[in-house]
Amino acid sequence: MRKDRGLRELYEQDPIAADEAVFGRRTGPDRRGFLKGAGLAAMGLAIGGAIPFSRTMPAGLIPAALAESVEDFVIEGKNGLRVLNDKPVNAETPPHLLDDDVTPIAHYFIRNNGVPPESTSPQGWRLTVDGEVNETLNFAISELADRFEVVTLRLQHECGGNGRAGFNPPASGNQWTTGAIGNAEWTGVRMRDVLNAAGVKDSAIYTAHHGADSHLSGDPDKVPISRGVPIWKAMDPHTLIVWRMNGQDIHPMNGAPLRILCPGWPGSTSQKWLTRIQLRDVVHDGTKMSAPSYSVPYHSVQPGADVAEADFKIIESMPVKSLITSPRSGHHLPTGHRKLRVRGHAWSGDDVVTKMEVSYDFGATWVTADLHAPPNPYSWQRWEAELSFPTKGYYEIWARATNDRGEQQPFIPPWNPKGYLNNAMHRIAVMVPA
Amino acid sequence: MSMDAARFPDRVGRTGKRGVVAAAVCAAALVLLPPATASAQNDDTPAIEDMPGDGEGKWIVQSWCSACHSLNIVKQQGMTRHRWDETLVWMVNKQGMPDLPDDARATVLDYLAEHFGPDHRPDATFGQPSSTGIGLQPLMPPQ
Repeated sequence: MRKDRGLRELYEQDPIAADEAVFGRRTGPDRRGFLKGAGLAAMGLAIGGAIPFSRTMPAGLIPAALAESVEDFVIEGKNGLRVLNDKPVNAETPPHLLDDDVTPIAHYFIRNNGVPPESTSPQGWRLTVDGEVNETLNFAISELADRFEVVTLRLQHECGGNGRAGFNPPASGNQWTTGAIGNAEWTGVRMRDVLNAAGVKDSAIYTAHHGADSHLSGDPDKVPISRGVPIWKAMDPHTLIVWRMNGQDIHPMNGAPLRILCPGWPGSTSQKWLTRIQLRDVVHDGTKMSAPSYSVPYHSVQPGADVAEADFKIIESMPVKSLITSPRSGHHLPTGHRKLRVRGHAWSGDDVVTKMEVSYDFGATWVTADLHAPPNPYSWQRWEAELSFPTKGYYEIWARATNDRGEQQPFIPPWNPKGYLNNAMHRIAVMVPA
Repeated sequence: MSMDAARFPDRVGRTGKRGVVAAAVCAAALVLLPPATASAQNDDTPAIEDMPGDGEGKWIVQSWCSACHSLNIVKQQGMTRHRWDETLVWMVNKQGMPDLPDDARATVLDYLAEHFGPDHRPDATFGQPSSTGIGLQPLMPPQ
């Protein structure tokens, strides 16, 4: 009986022949010839070929450059982030590094769907506005600044999957804990001014955003992400096209030189490396616009359930939420101390937070915190409170925000297949030694 | 398992120019790596020991999946075999992954379901979650 051979065996014996057998790849006289008929697995080979390519198969097939430790992974201009993933780059901010009113660029989270463009220089960067408009327009960044009113706003901007790690059964995707949120000070122009300049047709109901990043597979015909928003959100005066972050150039991983900042909605609606805004007469159907991406069931579902695609709706405003940013979880009070000041931020998508409460007894009783008004609409809001602990011991501080619709953060978020919108109360631990 | 070239008749034509772009993409990604990591490329053995288990399924996952994305995203998941199956369908239909032959596909699903099933806590990212603060676990072990 003929002995069946596995993929590994094939590759170990003759990787080049195995490549041709499995993926139809042919090698040329030069190792780069591999790439001419390459399938997806050729990316591993491409890495092997781009750097000294001396290893034997199959080890050579496995991109050592993508070695599965992100421990040493350094992103220039960023620090303190917890790296979830290096390809694509995804990194979140620990809560104690989100204590500033304006999130520093170095601590601002990164959520990439594809590979950033090689050049993020503003020189020569163009933005096209087309589709359901009276006139297609094309701008250099300097022309945007010259032609339209330049505004600076603090805007909360959170990944739709922030908190995914808190779902059980686990939801698929990057396992964000609490740190895919930032509130930077963005400078740019209002999207509505730019759209009005082009002349919005009555037929326009949705935007389609396009960026310069490329697909992970390397396929030039594939788009890593292209999302959009209903026209009313695009016309909101707080939805911006921005080129400055905290008065500086935008970090390359945060979308330099030009991006959308569509506050209060899933971060993916704020297209990075922006090259084109197209107005459409249908709900945009770009990559990651269709269920289950950035969508949740419109009815409550049993944890772990399969949900039909028709039962999903696109996420719009993000839910009411808050973080405790000081002290850091695990804080030990000095011996003899029973008082502690705690503080953080609260935000609520398109809405305003109207009440902030904290508990140190597992939610049995609540203390109302001082809550500041936002410096501008769509900024997160500072809150602070002083707690007095009655005895020594282990405490958890829980925080919950309530918005102007009366919506409050839950203990347990509703499960959904892709693990979006986890706005459960944030908790930190505090030890009171005596 | 058998591996018959005849089962992949359209592969050359279908994947055309993708690899050339892939090379550029990978080269761009490498720029981000610090010297310490870059030097690891010269090691004979890639640092992949932290993927659990062994066998054909592990090998295919390591080589095929990491061609496009980090294995960290795999290690963070905890899904049933059914949901892993859906994920592979999505990878093929939406993300440009070449179809695996049926037997290799079954091997991969077995591996993923065994090691990254629903009881696998998705904590494989670098370092401990700072203070998840969003689950039901105690935040600090009793001292």
